[in-house]
Amino acid sequence: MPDWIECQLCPKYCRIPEGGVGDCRVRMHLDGKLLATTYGRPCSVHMDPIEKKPLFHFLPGTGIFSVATVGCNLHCRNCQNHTISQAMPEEFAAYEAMPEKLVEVAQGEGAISIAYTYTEPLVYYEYTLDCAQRAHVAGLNNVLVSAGYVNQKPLGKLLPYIDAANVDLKAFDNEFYKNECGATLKPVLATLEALVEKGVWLEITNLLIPTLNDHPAMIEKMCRWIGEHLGWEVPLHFSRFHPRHELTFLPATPAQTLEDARNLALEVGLRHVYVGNLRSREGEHTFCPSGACPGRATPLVERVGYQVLANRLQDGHCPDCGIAVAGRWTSAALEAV
Amino acid sequence: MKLLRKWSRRKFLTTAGGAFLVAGTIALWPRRRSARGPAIPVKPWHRESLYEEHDLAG
Repeated sequence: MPDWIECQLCPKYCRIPEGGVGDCRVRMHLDGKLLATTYGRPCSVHMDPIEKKPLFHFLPGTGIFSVATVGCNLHCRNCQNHTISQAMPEEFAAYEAMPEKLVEVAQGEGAISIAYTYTEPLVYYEYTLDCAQRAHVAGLNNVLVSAGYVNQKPLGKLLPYIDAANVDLKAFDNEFYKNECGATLKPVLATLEALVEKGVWLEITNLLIPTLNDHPAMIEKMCRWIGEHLGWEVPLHFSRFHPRHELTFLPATPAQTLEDARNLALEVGLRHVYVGNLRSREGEHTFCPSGACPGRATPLVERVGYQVLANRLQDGHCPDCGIAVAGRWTSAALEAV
Repeated sequence: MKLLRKWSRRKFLTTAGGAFLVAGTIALWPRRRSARGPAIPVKPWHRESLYEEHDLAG
């Protein structure tokens, strides 16, 4: 009988023979054990503005120490980071940063949060979990930037250490997930629900790709599901596609498509809808969600790109009408700085 | 007779050449990366997966 190991981290349940790797390329069957081969070996380490994740309602204007190892369990044809997400561990130079060192470096850089990002943090699960545990002990916040394609059991063990997440909901269509990403929609929706249920601050990104996932009916269906299942206050970021990787034959998303999607989402009832990868007159700012607010036309948080120009929020409340705006606007780590 | 021998040789070479190409293509056709993987030793930084199941039938 051949000696196979079944990886139970994600819904792909890869059955891996001795010497083989899973679909993510980083979980390897060696000497009868399933090993996470990128543990402590990040390929990207960088200080970013938190708006780049994007997170607009979580400690705006702060820097976030961002880390990634190679590997991803999705194979999106539009991936902007395919050089690292679709690489084998030995194909890419990596730093040596065990969890204790990573947290130490993050603190040295003056960060109050660590983001597990760029590729798929759930395929380097053990590293993410150990770093997140140590970061919490050190008083840092943990942010997950993920496609959310993971099984509920490992996700449940990780979530107590995660403070915020941005999940890339690629489309509200299983066929899109199958054809363009090599995955399925249902587990991603389960992840979104689990994040909200466990009290993790959640924002969602939806990259609009011309002709593939930009149909208004699909966008409307997605917005309704978000509102009804996750809450109308969950921020949604419509992001602009640029021709990359295997989809270079498609044009960049027209600005009007993004603005139309934003208007549609607001009409459906979502309170905080943004436009990303594009300069937008209103789509980059946070406005008061109350229709009766006298200062509704003036942004509460004014942004250009990843920069916060002005923040009028007072302890998370609108200064004009006093309504609380959903988000995590302060943290113990921020106050300690 | 001479023509037949010449034709047979040509036919033989064509068939053998064709078989060689087909066999070579099959042998070198890229398999799924998940089934291949490089033969590298266990490194000190590798960690055991927390979610797996062993002893499965292939």
